[in-house]
Amino acid sequence: MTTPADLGPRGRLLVDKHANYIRSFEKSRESFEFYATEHFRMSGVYWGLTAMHLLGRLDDMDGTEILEWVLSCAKPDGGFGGSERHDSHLLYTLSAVQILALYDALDQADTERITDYVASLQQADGSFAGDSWGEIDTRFSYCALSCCALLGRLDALDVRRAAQYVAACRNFDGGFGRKPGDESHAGQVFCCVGALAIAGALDLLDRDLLCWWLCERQTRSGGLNGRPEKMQDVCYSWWCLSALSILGRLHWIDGAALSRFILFCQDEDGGGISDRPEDVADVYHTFFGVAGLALLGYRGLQAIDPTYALPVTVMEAVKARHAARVAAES
Amino acid sequence: MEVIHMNSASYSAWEWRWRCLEALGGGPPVLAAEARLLADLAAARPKNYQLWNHRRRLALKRGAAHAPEELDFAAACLGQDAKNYHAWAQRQAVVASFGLWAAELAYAEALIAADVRNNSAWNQRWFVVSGAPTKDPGAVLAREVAFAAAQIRRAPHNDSAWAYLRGLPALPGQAAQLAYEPGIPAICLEVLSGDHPSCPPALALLADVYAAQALAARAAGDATASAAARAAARRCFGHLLVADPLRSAYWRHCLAQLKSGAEEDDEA
Repeated sequence: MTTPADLGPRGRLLVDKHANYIRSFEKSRESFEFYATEHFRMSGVYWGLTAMHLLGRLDDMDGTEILEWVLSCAKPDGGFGGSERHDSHLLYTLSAVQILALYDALDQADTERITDYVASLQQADGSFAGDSWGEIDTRFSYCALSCCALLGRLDALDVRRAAQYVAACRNFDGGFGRKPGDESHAGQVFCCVGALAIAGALDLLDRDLLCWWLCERQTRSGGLNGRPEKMQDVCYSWWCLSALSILGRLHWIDGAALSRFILFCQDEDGGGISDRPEDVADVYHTFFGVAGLALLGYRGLQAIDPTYALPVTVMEAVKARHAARVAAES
Repeated sequence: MEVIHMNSASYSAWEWRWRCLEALGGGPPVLAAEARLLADLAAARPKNYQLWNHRRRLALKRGAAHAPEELDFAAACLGQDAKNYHAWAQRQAVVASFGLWAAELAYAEALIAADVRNNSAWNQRWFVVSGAPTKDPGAVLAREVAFAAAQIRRAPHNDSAWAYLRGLPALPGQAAQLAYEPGIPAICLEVLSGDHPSCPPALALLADVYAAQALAARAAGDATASAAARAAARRCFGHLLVADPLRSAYWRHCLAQLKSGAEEDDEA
């Protein structure tokens, strides 16, 4: 499958349509989707808001109401649930902290309780469980490290051991899986590279072998897939590209061809971006498409930090906050 | 159960269910009934994280006697989607817990025979070959190089087989390096001298073998052999610039690295 030379109306990023598409979710609380997605709503809100920020349209959203809702999902154990009605999980704890960071509202977080919760999920081998029931996955290693770094509390974790566990998930092809032995998968590669970057342990991976595997993910469509012989999908524009960016090898893929593939996956009528051309758009692929274009330096988009998946300006504010705190304490 | 039927990814509901199972005593009839129920649910929702997490706990609790049944269940899921990540992980958990290495090697081989491009099956083969205890790592390496070469002959442009071959010198217990395993450049040259003179993965691996040989020769103080190997690598990378233009930035990076190696040679 190739991407046509003339993309028609999809030849440019349809910023207004995407902003309207994301905003429409605020108003559709009667729909089936609203209930079917309840268990991961916190992440859905993070995807939508970060996309809006990159599009320069965060002010279109009702920040006060959103922050109130996020804080209402905090649980007695210190973590956050996917919604008010769900238990704590690392995935949604990170999304909640990311949303607070987006609104420069980290001072509203109970840093001690959140870090205690995250630290309680670390296992003896350095890995992390996703919640109190013990599923282990390198996604959770990333969530834990990112969450504590955003809160300025990496010291609450055994960072060295966390990095060693991630390194144990490295495969013969240079990629990473969910657990030691699991097949390399571009989504897990992002988590593992991001985790090692936060841990200051990028020396534990084989940079050239991994980046070669990542740039092998580009297909003739210009899009990227997540594993060999699988179909291209817009979400890998983020998973592969962020890792290449962290490792300083973004130029190894054909950026122009990838941009065109992402643009071709836009819904030119209703707004939003889908996994592949002509599929139904969703907020997940809309975020990863916009974020991929931002990494490629698409004109008019805010820059995004490849490690934390937050706008660069937001990360600058987070780092300034931690620096000020350290200065005050010393 | 009603909640799981409505929303099978509701992680809280699954955890509650596991607690209930344990409270019921977790005896064999209870666990068998649970396995049957999960089979029905998995058929409808084969990519559900929570379901597979529950299923893995259940399989390990039921023990070795039920391992064949569990492997059959995962195999049935892979019959629907041969790349289902969770089903492969489930097999790994069962194989490693109950030491079923030989049977799993045969299973992965059968799936590679059915679809030589199934990267998940290649990964499973690696999992078995690197995890199974062996007294003769040299024989394992030779067998695996021959296996990968045979699969490459079936489909010379298959990235999965090439990645596997490239990784083999890193198997545990191996002293071998890319520069010294003669079976590896042999299959590259066989492919390139046959019907596929511009096959990118063959050119890429051969270039890396030559580059590794150049480094080894330089370490041994043989400047002539080092220069010759480097020139051979340069020809492969130059060929790749034409054969695989989508990744030309990468091939230029490889050429630049060779060049910096050559400058160090000149200084020596």
